[in-house]
Amino acid sequence: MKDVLVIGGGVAGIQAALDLAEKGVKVHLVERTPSIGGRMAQLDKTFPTMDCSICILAPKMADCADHPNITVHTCSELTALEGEAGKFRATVLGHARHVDASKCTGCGKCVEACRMKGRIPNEFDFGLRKRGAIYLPFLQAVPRVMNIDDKRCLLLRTGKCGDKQLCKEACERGAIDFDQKDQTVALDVGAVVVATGFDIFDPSGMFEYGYGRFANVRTAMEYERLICASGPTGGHLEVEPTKEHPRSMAFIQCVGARDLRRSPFCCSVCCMYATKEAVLVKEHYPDTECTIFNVDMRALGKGFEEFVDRARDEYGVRFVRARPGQVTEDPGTKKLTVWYEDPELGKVKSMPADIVVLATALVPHPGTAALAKVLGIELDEHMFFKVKDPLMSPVESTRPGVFIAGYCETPKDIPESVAQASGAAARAYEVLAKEKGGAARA
Amino acid sequence: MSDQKKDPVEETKAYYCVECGKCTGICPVSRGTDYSPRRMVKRALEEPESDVARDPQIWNCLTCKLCGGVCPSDVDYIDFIKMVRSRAVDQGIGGGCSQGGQLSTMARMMARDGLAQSRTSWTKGLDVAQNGEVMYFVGCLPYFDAVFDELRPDTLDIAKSTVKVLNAAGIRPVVSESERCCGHDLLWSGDVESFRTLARQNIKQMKMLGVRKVITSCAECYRTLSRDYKELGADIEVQHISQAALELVGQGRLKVASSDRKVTLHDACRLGRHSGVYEEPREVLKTIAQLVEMPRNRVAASCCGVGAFLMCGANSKRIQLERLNEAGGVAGTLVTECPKCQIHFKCALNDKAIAGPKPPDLEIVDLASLLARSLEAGKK
Repeated sequence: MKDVLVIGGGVAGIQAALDLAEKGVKVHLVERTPSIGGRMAQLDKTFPTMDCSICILAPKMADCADHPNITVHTCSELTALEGEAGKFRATVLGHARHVDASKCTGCGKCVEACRMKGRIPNEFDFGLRKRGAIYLPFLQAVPRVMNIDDKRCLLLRTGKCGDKQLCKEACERGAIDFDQKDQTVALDVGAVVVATGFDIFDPSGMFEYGYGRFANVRTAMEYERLICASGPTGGHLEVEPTKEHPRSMAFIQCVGARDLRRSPFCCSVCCMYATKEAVLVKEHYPDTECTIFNVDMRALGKGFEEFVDRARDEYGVRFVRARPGQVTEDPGTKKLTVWYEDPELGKVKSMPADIVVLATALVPHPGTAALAKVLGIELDEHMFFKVKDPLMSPVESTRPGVFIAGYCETPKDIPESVAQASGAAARAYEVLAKEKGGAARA
Repeated sequence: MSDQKKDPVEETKAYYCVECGKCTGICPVSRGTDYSPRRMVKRALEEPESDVARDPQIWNCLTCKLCGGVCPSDVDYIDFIKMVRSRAVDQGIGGGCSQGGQLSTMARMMARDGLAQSRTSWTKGLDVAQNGEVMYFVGCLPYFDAVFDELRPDTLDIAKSTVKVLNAAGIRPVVSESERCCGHDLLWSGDVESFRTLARQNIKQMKMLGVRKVITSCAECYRTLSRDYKELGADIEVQHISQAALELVGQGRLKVASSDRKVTLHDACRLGRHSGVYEEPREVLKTIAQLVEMPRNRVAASCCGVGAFLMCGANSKRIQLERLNEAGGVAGTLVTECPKCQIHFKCALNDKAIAGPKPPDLEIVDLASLLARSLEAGKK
């Protein structure tokens, strides 16, 4: 039976890869970044059960890496897909890590030695933590292999790193390889599953909320890192500049989403994760006031409505039906004020907030159009991958043999992404089975 | 179809309003009064029979467009208000003019045919033309000096300075004896008929004089000529003096002297949010002074507190003082790009009735005046 190519190493891609691998299919899992895990790895807890997100994901990530039927290609991207369903030829470009994966144990001695240590914003924590030029993307990264950022490494960028290369000297196994080159591999596959997830809308262009100018205005994804025990602050929420914990927090929903000039669609998860984030505040600091500003509550999944009720009735989270018009900052104290129209009074009101969390739109990756071109599949009006028939073929792309799973198809939460991934894996398997049967008959 | 017949809800697609109240949350008027833009739209949507045009609150809007920039449903509220006001005027309802009707009366007088004006005597000693391709549209500047005498707004100095700057670059602009008010205030006060009369007269005049390009020193004239006249078929290039000066400096035709004076710029809503002109005034200012930004700048800039000389009161003063303090916090000079911003700020600065802490000791000067001074400094 032919192999399957899975693009995207988030929870959907991982699920599709594991499903197929368990059926005995060889899978190539292609991930753009140095580690699989995707967005779920960055979340603190999941709603509505409040499970630790990485605790659920990490074993699946490890299963992927250890599975005899799965080959994980990190730092890699698809550059061509020729042929047709049942007999595709995929070209995958693997960018050099400059670290020999067969030798690196992930001990971290090179990380300590790097001259750039602590000087480069860490992507995983949205810059809330700093890394060096050689780094492990995050604690639970899979594969546990160091990566050299060739755009920031002094030697690779300028040709000179002091009088000697400290990382190379620190590595006891000789894993550092500055001469490593990008590599292209050709893969014969029968089907493709695309699960590239989402990107996060940058709200700095929305002047009204002051993101990027006001220290205490955060995106929800930043908040996930801040409230996480393994995050930059060890799970303590700190208000700038006092570093005290917040007394009052405001969550602003639909930032850039359901906005006719930006992303008109609903991102489908923000009502629930904001509720979860407010409950987390209450669990950490029961006295802290939490207000969620949303125009309506979309709690459609299993146990979601009950979770919202509990947040309001048991935890005392306040829900206000409004989109705040502005967040202002006292330049001296950095304290924030949220301005909104009181829906009952029909008048403007304000509330003080120590931290404001913006539920920014979750949007398709900027590289989606280029990938769609390589894949030969169509996009919808919002740049999500188009399915052949949203009713009866919700995992089939517009090209036979190419299937879609997860948020890159349309906004959805983790369980739905996982379900769609299993669906896509099953349909991909169908292609392989047909091909095999056909070959047998011939 | 005339504006009066247009349905404000249909035209602005206000039916997309989701009643989130974002407009009210950012509105500078709401912050000091009971006014709510959202309620205005809701009333138009849900109670068409009650006729929102009869609501006195429609005159409260400053048309500063802060709300338009943040509306997730992309409703252009100020256009909505403009159309509602025009309907009010059709029914004989008007807004109160903060100057007792003086300014709007002057504008309406100018709309009359056969009007004989003497409006160029101030050009003595300056090099101006009777006709030609480049016109300096003076607007109300000479009138303001008389009306707001006690504030010493130096608006005529803005006009003189603009001509001086153009002359220094070798441009001899047309300054027309028969120019009329651009009609901005009438348009935004709902008197669309008078506005159109003024516009047609000005457009006709420009054609007669052979004008292809108009330079203004007023943000309101800029918006009105470049957008509202264009809608009436005017085919002229319009430049604000900041844009013209920056171009001339770039071409090496205008020599200005730099100074180490620290200045900050107040974006006029008509130039900024209405027209998207943010960078040219800054670029040109940087060639003559040290520009520092206020926290609220460009698209986030505050309003000067009064629009079209409608409604001026405690809330306007609050807005102005807040802005003056913001400016005083970063620089000793506040540069304006619209004569009306200057008048409104100077009014607040001179208001003896204002209780509480006095506004900072600020010099308020127009960009054109500052440019002209930099020419003189360059000569020395």
